[in-house]
Amino acid sequence: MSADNMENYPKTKNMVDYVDDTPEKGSISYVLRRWKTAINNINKKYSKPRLKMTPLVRFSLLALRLYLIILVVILSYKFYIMVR
Amino acid sequence: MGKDSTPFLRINLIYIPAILLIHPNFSDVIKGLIPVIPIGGFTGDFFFFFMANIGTTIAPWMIFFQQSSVVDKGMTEKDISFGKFDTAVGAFFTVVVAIACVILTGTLLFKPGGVDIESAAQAAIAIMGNYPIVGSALAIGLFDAGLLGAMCISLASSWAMGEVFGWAHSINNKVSEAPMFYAFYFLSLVFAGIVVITPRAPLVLITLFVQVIAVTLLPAALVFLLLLLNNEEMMGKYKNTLMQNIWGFLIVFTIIIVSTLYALSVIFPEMFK
Repeated sequence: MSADNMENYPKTKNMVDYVDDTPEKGSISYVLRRWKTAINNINKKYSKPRLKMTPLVRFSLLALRLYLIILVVILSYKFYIMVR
Repeated sequence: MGKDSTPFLRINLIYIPAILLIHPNFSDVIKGLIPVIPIGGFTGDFFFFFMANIGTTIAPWMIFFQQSSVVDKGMTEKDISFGKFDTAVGAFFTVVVAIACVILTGTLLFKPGGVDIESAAQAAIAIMGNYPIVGSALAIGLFDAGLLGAMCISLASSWAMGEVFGWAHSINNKVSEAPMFYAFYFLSLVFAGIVVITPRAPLVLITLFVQVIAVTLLPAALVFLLLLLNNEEMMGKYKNTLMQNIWGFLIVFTIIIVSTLYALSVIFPEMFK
């Protein structure tokens, strides 16, 4: 953390007690945290779609996607029993 | 795809001279071009192959491929008419090559005493017995189609991933400029290669199911595309016409109905017999 950022950091009684919980580079938790940040950024990027949709259209599209996923699960089951 | 991908496309035309060498019965060919409900009617198998056929022609990856390739080529509004012509020529030759491929394999393999085919290689080898040149042409055409398919589908996936994750994602970039894009592209190709060389993998079944699943998921992408095409703010004077919307939604509804019927035939096998 740079000195500039330290100034913005909420002051505590004893700054020495501050523990940097950033995971070590290359560790699993570091990778997971990077993925989480990447997914959050993607969600933020697409949170306001340029296409204007009424709540009914939005709900219909969600229902359609869920329905299609169910169909794909059934197809995958059929593939499994045919291969087996 | 590189600077010029047409050599790959031109090789696919090899099926057209090949059919002239096997002297197919052209009255059978004409009859075959007229769609009919096959003997046995609406069965689960009928829905399955119907969907697989649609899947070879329109698939979700094509939507992403088309828009990304337009962006990557740097096409602008003035190029729309050329883009439409490009797509129309591509669509025309896709259908011509598909018909030639069906005529070729149908004439040589689909006959009394014909052979059961479990892979494309078996088809080429079976034909090579009596028609070495035609069998070789089929093998070259299939290799080319596979190579082109692997390149296009992996590229479409890499473009889409690049767009979602915000990576540099253009084939105009060098590898050092778009490392994640090329890494994903390379890994997609490696994964596809592993599936193909997996011992005893049911490749024909995998191919068919991939097409069917792709078609099942197609409406999710198509509906968004249709919403986009009807957005006046974005599309301006290029907004969809009523007739284009009728065709678009007809395709979406047909796919949903057929995939539902196939799913029903899986759950209730007695329903369509």
